[in-house]
Amino acid sequence: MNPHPDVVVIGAGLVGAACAYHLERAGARVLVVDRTGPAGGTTAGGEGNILLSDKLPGPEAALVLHSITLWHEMAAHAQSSGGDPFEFDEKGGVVAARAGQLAPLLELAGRQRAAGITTEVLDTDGIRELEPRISAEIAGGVWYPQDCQVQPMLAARWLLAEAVRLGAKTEYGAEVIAAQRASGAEGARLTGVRTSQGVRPAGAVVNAAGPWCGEVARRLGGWLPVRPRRGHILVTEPLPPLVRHKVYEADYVGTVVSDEASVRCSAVVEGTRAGPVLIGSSREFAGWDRQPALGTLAEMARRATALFPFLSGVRAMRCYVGFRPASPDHLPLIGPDASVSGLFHASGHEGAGIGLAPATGHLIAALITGTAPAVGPAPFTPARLVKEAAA
Amino acid sequence: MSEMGFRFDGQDLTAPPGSSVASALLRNGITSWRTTRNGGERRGLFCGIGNCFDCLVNVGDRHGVRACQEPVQDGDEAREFRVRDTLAGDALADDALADDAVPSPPPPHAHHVGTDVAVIGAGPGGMAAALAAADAGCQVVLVDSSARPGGQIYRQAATAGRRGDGDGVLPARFDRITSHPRVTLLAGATVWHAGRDEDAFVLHCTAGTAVRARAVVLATGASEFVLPFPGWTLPGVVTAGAAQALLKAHGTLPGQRVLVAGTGPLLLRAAADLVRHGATVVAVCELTTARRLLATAPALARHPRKVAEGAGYAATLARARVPVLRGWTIAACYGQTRVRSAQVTNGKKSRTFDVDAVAVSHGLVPALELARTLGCRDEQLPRFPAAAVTVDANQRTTGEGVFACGEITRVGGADKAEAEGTMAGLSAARFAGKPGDRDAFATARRKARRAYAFAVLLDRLYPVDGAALAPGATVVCRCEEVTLDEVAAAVAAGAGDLRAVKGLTRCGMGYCQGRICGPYAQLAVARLSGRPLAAVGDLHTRHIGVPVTLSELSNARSAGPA
Repeated sequence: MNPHPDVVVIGAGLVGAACAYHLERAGARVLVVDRTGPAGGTTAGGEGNILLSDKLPGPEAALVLHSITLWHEMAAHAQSSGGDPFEFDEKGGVVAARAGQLAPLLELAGRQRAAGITTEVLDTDGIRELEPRISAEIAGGVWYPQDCQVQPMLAARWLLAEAVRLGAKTEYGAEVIAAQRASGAEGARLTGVRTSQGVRPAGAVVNAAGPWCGEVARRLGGWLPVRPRRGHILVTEPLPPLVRHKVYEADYVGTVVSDEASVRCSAVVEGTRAGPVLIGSSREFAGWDRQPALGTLAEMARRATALFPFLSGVRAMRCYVGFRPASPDHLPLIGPDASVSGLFHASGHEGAGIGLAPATGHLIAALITGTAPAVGPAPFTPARLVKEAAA
Repeated sequence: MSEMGFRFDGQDLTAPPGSSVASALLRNGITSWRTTRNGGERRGLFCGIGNCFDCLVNVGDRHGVRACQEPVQDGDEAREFRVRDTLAGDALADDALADDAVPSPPPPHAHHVGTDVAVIGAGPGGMAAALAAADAGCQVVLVDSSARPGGQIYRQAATAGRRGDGDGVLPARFDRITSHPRVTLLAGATVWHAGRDEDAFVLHCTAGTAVRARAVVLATGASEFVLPFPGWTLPGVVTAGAAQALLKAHGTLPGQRVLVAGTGPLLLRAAADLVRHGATVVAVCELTTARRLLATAPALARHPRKVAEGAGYAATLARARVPVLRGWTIAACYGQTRVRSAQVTNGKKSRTFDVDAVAVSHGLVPALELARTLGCRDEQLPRFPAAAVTVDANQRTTGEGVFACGEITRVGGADKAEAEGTMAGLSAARFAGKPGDRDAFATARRKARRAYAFAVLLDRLYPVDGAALAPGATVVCRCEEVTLDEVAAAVAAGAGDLRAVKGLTRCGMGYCQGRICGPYAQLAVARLSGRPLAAVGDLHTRHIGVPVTLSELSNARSAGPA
């Protein structure tokens, strides 16, 4: 038997774990390498959202609809062997609008419905039935029953364990340094990667290094225009279930698709099974600065208390920052590198990587093993950006 | 002196005026006032100095406050703390929803105080720094979370008519702090965030004050380190520091029959204090062997004043016939809702004592979070759990305008802190444009060097990094009730550092933010993964230093960019 893996997956976050899982299911032998360990990067820096509510109609909506199906399958599989290994919670999402925000929100919801996302319009009583403690200033909103939440680190751990059960190997503390290439007629074809722990030969390499994937692509001779888009999260002390769903301001989708470098905030509030309420969100291009900005935290606190006034007397216990892998056109980058044969990318999901990870892994497995993809791969191919840059 | 009346869960109780809730409850024989939300365990006082958040209680409309920090007032109504009480109980009732939906009025904006030098922490180091900078001509704001200056070591009596250690030792020092025309004492305020804007440092304090300063002296001190053992979460098991804080501030004993266990110079002192206040100390159980103590004796002899101090405690214990067991370690505590017995072992034999309290300490952990938030570098020292803010010979940190003294530059006691505090205060004054007394600086530097040498000696005498890991079922993270087995499972799943272990287990995610479990979790992950401590990382980074309400946090905007 060939001792070498068929595929090296770089990155043991949720996207890398999902790639490994689906590649193993498709019959490939996988080695997952990570410079630290499982779920150490962006997977540990977010809230664990699986959102349909913030997806505009189009390729991303198609990808998330497939992903939500896969999440349900994973949860059923996990629960069939007992327990609740990654806290899959079909909590549903509520987008809340003030009077002036309602019309554009309803227009968006109509288009989302046409794209296959379940939506339900909430009037002023309807939204209070779902969220009794919401501000009196909220005029209505939209209910997205398909929105879910997971504990992303536990989900990555579960997927990696499943992949290992199917035959995958993991190697932690191994940082990718450079490409191994075949010399000769095949030219630039990758034959593996050189890591800090040694050479790891493979037929294909998947770059699932999240916001670091641009650097990994560069080391492997490829190119990927992904930048870290920083976000902050505030965590409150444990509370009884006073915020019942994921609740966010109607302007959130606008901040997601904006391209501003300076910080933009929008209130995102949700309770967790463990008790604390998570408060987001901010988006900015600020390099790799891990020091949270107090002004941003204050703005998030102000917006959250405007949405849920009772929160003003609740204490924040801690905060953290994370880095979203942002692509220039806000669409994920899934597929072969434009110039390096054998190199595949699975990144650029910005803040949607947790939700989109299973469909991403499924698509990567289809592209590498030649099975039929469930979602058309063309809109996600990294080559689209190379072409634009060359034009 | 008349006692005041208060109620706890419907019982009418009394306590001396000035009592903390914890002291008042302990005086009435109540050792626990909280049930954990996961394991349903009883909890009460543990660290005693506001770090562990294990003693949360409701008092009137103050919900989830720390019983060790919260004064009890005449007529107060105290209740057990449960998670659902985090908000006012009536706000949770459905019929209160209509009121609840009304937005609360915007809270008042943060009150700004401008100064030349801000000193954080009013222990021996911070007091010396504040006086040195003020004597050099600076305006100084001295911030401390306690109601009175003194820090842990010179804690003053809070209960009327009593004398704490500080009252006897340093009355002149306290007078100078409170009467100096250029020192403003901001007592009862905790700095929850430290940052800087274009022209000043900005320190956000609880109670809505923001201090703007040209220079900052960090004198944030240390808190106790405890090696976990089965039963260490039982009510009645407290840190040695908690026992001393109760005695000094309130004259209250944690129990009548007390085992003192752990390692370090604080054990003898805590045991002697307990004896002098009338407790029966069943034994002092010291991890360091007599052989190691003897081997260190020649070096110790160069510090005769320190040796005499230790001998004084030993004499007190000998008169009370308290056995000092050297080379023994605490193995477990037993009890249902409070500690009833404690087992100790020396590896060959074990002994069990009937107790109603255990005071335990395995050393001190410096409070590094504000230094981290200000971008000052620190380093892990060879002897676990020691870490230190990096300072130069003038007590300058690597952050411009930030100075540090005392336990955070290396745990070493009051003499070291005081000498370094004088140096740090004078350096901060110089930075703020007010050069002070050069002779005072030189004198302080000589004292600091000598005290530093003693600190290094103690590190060698009381190591803890060789201790065996606790049994797997032992709780490591008290807040989130995470066991060592769960930490080990995360390591087995590939988690290579403490951040990943935290994400997978919730270890360090609770109210105390890893203050109590962080150092041990770091040691355990390093052992279990075979990786060095530095690679495992620590939980000292806390950008929100203590929990603050979202309304306080939203007010921080007005203090300019951080």
